[in-house]
Amino acid sequence: MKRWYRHYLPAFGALSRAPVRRVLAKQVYFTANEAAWLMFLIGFALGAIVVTQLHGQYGQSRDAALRLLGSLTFGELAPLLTVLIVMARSASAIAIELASMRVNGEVRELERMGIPIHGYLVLPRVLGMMISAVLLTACMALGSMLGGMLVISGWDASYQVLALERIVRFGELALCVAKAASFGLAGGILACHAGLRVQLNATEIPRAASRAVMRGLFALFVLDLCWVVFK
Amino acid sequence: MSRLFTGHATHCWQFAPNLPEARGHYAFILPEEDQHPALIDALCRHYANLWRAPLALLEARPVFVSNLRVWENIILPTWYHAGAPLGELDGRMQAMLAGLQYDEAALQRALAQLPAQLDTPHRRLAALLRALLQHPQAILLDEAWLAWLAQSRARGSLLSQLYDRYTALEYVFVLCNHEAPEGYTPISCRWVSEESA
Repeated sequence: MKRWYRHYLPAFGALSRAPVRRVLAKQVYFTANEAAWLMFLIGFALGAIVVTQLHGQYGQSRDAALRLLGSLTFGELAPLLTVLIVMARSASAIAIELASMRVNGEVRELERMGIPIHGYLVLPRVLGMMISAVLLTACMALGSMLGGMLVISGWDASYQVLALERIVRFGELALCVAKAASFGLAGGILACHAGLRVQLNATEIPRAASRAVMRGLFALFVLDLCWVVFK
Repeated sequence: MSRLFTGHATHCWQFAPNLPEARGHYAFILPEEDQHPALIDALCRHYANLWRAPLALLEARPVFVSNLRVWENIILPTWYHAGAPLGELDGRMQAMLAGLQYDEAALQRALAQLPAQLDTPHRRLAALLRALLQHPQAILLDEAWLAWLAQSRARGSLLSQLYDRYTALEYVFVLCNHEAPEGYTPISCRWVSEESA
């Protein structure tokens, strides 16, 4: 706890500095912006598959299938699948970047220039992962609902869109955002930890990437289990 | 004799006769080259705490943040600590270079590149610009820099022009393996256990 107060809490003050905000913006750009369409399309396919199964295989009515899709997407599938993809794509990238910086002496050089590592390198990456996880989850959830509506209602989907509040409740929306944020936060912290804890040896860099992804995936499922048990 | 504690459980740095307390040119003499980085770390921390200002560094192999452009690397410490707008920092750098003889197009190209793409002379120049832009009270040079500056003076290149114009600093430290260069007061450094100190 003492360590938290001494190292991590003051790091939040670094957000008042322009170079830190720039690193945060770059992190959100590379993690969220570049993957937004991919998430939307995956979500679209997912929504279409789920309602087809529910309606065709399990005999649910169109309305019931869409309500189930909304509940499944916002409560479970969108945050879990999104952060799964973000973890594979960005956690490894963060770990490789930080590990290379450490091996090449860039981390040491920043410390010598009086630039704190937690404030300049860790905080914007962790926050960037968290913000990106929330934004990309929204993209996937939107794509999924749209896919489900188009497949189940065809060109009459506009009716379903207007009646969206029947399918998605505020509680589910809040749960979806909270889950995505917690998964992104855990992924960011573990990726930075894996990257900055490497020995000063180039062979450690791929190991850091692998460690970041494996630990991130493990944390993701443990956190999801906690959400299911304690919500 | 003075000591510098670095948070290490059993060891500290010992300086003879003393750590510099008055303005001047000093040579830190440390024969074990593999200990130079640790000494640089300790001196950076010490003077940053003492003066609340950074110690500018000119190392034999200057290190830059690899995912930032050279220009971003040059302004990074000043931008972070002083928080000045980017336009103002660019103006400061242009003012620093004004009136000097150099190939402006080549320098502009170098500033827009990533550090890995830089050739050695431009790498040294970028390190010097980064150090000078911080308006440091003191500068810590690697011994190799003295030789490069001498060569640069003979050629009249931008490196020596910049150094000679802007480094009328209060403190200049050189990190050496054996003997202090002429004009520098020698200070011997040792990494010792606290008991023997």
